[in-house]
Amino acid sequence: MSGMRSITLGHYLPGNSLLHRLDPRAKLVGLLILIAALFLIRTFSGFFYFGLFFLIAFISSRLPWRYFLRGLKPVLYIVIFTLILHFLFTKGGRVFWRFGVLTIEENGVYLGSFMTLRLILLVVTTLLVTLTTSPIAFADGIEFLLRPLRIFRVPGHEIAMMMTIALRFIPTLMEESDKIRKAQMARGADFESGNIFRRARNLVPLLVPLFVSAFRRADDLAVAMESRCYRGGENRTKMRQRQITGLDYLGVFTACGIALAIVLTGV
Amino acid sequence: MNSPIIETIQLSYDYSLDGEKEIRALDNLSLKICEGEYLCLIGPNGSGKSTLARHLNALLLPAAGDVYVDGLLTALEENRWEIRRRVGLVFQNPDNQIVATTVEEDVAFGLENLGIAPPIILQRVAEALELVGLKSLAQHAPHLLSGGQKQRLAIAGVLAMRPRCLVLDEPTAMLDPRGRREVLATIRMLNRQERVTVVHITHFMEETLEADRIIVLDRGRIACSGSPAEIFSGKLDLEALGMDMPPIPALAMALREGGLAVPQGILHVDQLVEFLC
Amino acid sequence: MLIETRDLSFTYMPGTPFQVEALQSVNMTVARGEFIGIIGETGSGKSTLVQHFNGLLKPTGGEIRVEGKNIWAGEINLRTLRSRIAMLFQFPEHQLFEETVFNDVSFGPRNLGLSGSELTERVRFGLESMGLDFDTYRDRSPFQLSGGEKRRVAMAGILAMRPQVVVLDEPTAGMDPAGRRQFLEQVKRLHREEGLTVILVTHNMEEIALLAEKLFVFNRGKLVLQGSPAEVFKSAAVIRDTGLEIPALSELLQRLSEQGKKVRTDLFSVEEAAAEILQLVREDRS
Repeated sequence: MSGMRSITLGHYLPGNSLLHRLDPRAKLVGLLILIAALFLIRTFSGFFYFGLFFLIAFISSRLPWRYFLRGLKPVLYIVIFTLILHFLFTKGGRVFWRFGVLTIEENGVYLGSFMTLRLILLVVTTLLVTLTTSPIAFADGIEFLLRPLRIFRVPGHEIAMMMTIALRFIPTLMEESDKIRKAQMARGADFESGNIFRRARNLVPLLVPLFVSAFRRADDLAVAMESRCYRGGENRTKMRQRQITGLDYLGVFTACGIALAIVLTGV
Repeated sequence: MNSPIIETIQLSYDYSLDGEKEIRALDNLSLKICEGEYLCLIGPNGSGKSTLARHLNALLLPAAGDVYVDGLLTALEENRWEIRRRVGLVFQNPDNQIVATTVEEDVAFGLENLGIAPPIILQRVAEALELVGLKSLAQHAPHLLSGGQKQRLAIAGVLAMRPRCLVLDEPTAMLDPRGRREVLATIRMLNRQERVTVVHITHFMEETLEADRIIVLDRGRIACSGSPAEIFSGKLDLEALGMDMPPIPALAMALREGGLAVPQGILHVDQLVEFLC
Repeated sequence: MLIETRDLSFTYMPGTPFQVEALQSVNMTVARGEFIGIIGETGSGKSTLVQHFNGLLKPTGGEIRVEGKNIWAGEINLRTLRSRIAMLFQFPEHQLFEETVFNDVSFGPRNLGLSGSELTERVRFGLESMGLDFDTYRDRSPFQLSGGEKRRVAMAGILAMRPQVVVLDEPTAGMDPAGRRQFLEQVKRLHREEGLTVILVTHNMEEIALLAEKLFVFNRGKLVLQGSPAEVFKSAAVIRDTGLEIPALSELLQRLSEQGKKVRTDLFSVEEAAAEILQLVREDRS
């Protein structure tokens, strides 16, 4: 038994809040509208109103805030990196701080804060959707959204199927990598010391078996799927037909309204 | 026995390792599997068991000879999907045959592929989960199930398609004793109560004792076939075929050699206890 | 004592909602040269336990001692320890990664700093211990071998470290009867001739009853039974309670004994059981 088995991607947390109950398609359409709004906002007050709306949505979702913050950790570095980049390299306006060739100037601080805020709001809004949408519903939503792109030969069903399979196999492969790591450590492999190049080379005994195993699993799975009559998305039905309800229209409508209001007042 | 549900006629198949020399996996193999039969296939690794299994639902097509399923020729493309619906395969590694992220969605997978109407899918999924005893776990994530549960899930996924024949390729190889008991009980119940024809491939001789017939494969041919009592009578040199005697028949044979008149056909502990007491 | 655990406990992901107590206060010892069997269901803690023997897991409670030294007290180099108490994981053929059999088998000894003729000798020893001819196999790709060969190459890679103890986790899973027989023959020979201490984790009761001198039975993270196979399988009720089975021959002899027949119930081979029953029948007749 591996301790990692309970971790899944997206960290979906089941629940029964309004956000949980919304149809994934409505949620994804709403999310797209809100993201578009984020990119149109030009003032800090716009971000403030957006943040307020997010906060209301977050509270209504009844997600534990600690859990939510933990989901933010991976993007923290990107946010900090953006901030530093702008602070140091965007020039113009008053000079706040100087050290040798390095300066922090007014425009940099302004743009840096602006971009960082936008990034943070983008991430938290998306996270709110992924945390309240089960992976399978999410894949369904993506498939729906990609449907109009079929005329450009975008394989919506296949992309959704790939997402589902990836989600299904991430815990399995994590367990596997844990096992292979231990098996090689039992043969004296060292994954922890040495400089970065040495460490990278030391990963070979882990990565080769992991890839071989992933391919073997993919092969097995392909045969198993074929054996169960899988032949792509054509003529395929779905056990759970998702019903768009009044609530979903209301959800999308609200997202539209709020986006419009914020953008119009904040441009 | 009833009429054959699957028939292979002089079936041969070659495969090549790293694109070089061809290896004959199945060699002129003719076999009839009867409706409602519980057939066990045994034989050493590389004897052609899995290759044969994959011919039974048109995952592989013969290099020579024919395979008929319910009268349908597997080589014809238009028969393929109907054959795969009628003959379901369960594989050795439970992890590598589960597609979806919940138990229920995985059982539905095959039915969705067949384009069956959603209300019927729901009903059949519920039935299949009930049969294999996983109803209470319908919403669970598959990676949190035990090995035995995963294999029963794989069986349910096939059952939901209402197959006439279930082909299981070493379904218990990766399970612990409890998982093995669960899966074997499920297979037996499906054969006896639901009248599903079963082809069960295994390396565990004890698992074959309940079969109607055992076929021993060796280098792509049928080395011998018969009821468990015949196969384990001690008259065949199973060791030369890379196989084993299960402990009770082996003991019965040793007792016979020691001069005790143990009747033929003793396979289980109960039978031997009864004879000795 | 070679290996000793004292109140060994291990909890996965402590302090989270996913917390699992995989081992609870386990006390056991393994002496040099023993052939040990560890049995229990999947999830009973047996795999977690054996990963403590060579320091792959660090106990969350209690301690683990090797030759009297607490392995986590800093006195023992863990990498050296792992070459002395070597471990073969389940489906070990999945850990092969080198281009040639030689390179793969030599991975362990190379990590110990060996090279040249000494390294070659180690690889030869490993391969030939598993019945694989050195010259035939050394330059072949491990990925082109048959399943049974791959597994023996993986085992050779463990043996090439010249360990004192091998821990084998389900080493025969998925093998055919002949393959199982052969593999276990080699292990038995190494135990007998090289004095190797063997710790075998298995689900196969018939096999372990014949092989092991001492069994440890685990259930839900606890050590529930220990002793010789005869002692352990006498407690049929406890064994069944843990989800395991008792060997068919033991079951038969126990049933005969319950019926009032005077038979020994501690026999596990067909030959011994047959001799015992023939003896009984002869006595009955006279």
